[in-house]
This record gives sequence, C-alpha cells and structure tokens, in this order.
Amino acid sequence: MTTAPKAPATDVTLVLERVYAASPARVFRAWTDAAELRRWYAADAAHQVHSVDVDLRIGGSYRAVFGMSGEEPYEEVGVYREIVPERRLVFEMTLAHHGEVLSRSLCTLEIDDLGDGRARVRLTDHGIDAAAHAQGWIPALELLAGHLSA
Amino acid sequence: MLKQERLDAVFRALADPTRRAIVDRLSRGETTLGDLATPLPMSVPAVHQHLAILESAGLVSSSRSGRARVCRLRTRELRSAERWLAGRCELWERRLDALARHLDEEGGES
Repeated sequence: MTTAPKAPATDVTLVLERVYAASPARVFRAWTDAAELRRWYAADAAHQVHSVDVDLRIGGSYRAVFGMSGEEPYEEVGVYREIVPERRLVFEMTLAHHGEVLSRSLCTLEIDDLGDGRARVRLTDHGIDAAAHAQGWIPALELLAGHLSA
Repeated sequence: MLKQERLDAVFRALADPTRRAIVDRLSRGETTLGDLATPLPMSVPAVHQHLAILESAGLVSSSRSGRARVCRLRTRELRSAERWLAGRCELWERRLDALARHLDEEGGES
C-alpha cells in the first residue's frame, strides 16, 4: 500500500488517495456490501460497527452505527447520488451523535484500475455547509491555521 | 466533536473579510472598538455589527471599560473548529488504512 500526499487538515475539501493490491471490483464491493463494510468501516480495533444497512441505488442510502463499546454510538447515513459500479460512488454523508448532526459532506469515491490486480482509490470529502460560504473559507482557514500556530 | 451549528456559526463569521481583519487585529492583543474601527472603511456602528456576529459565534468577547468597549479574541472556538477539520481528515485516513488491512486479510479476487 502506498500513500499519496494528502490535502492539509485545514482544507475544507479533503482528498485522500491510496493504492490497494485488489481489483476495482473487490474494492467497490468492500464499499457497498453491508457485510463487508461491517468488517472495516469502524476503522480500528477500539471501535465496532454495531450495524450496517445498504440500499445501493440512486436516492437510496447506507446507514452505519459504530462506536466504542460502552459509549453512545455514532450514526452515519449516506445518500447515494451517483453509482458507477467498480468506478465511482458519490454520496451525501451525515454523521450524527446523540441525535445531533456533527458534520455533513459530499463524498466521492473514485476507483482506477492500475492493472496487475491493483486499484487506486481517491476519496474526496467536501464539507457541504462550507460550500455556501466557499469564497471566505480558504482565507478564513489560513487565518485559523496562522492563529493556532502562534 | 463540535456541533454542526456552532461550526457553521464560526465559519459564517469568518467568511467576511472585515470580520477576518478584526480577528487578525485582536490576535495581536485586546483593544477597544474605536481602535478596531479606525483602520476600517466604515462607521463605528457598522464595525459594532460585525463584532456582534463574532461574539455570537464565540470568537470574540467584549466588556465595558469606562466609556470604551474592550474586545478580545477567544481561541476556544477557533481551536474546536480546527480540531473538527482535523478530525474529518483523521477519520478518512484511519478508514482507508482499515480498508487496506481488510483487503489484505480477505485476499483473493472478487
């Protein structure tokens, strides 16, 4: 696995890339099959996925409930906007905790076939509410970064 | 994590160049409303309105000192917003790492 340079954490739009030793079909299945998501979506051993439901169609959604054991779990819902099997997935994702929305993003997953059983994944997370104030974000965030490092 | 609405208020407040100029000035130390208004191309009441938005987003606090209004920067909301941004990045980083482990464990082709 190799890691491409990522956008800085203060950027409103995050772009992350990875190369996996797996076919595009395999990667796409990992992202869209409920049983698969259950095994990796919680991201680490300290967190567990309590449930995953997937309704893979335009306007359908996935719902994942995950968290640390003994603690109130997070609920993530993603409404599918574009589905190109093995190539592209676009979903509007909302993350909530204690019934309150923590973040809302438009996420894009792109899968490129690199051949030799390898696939490149690009994940873009664009903060939806940020888009409404797009013009002010970058200078505002530079200001943030400047002050916090002072 | 920071609640979405508090975060929205912070970024809405910072989306205006005048308010960013105010935050920038206050980062160098507290000062009076009059001092803040001096370099800005608008009336003091107009500056006061911008200040009200910054205060309600929790970025600035002010108090009366005699006849002057003294304003100061509050870094807590700025730091919370920065942590929120960093948190999103971290979540996806960890997930993509977890996907790698999952694909390695499962092995095989589709």
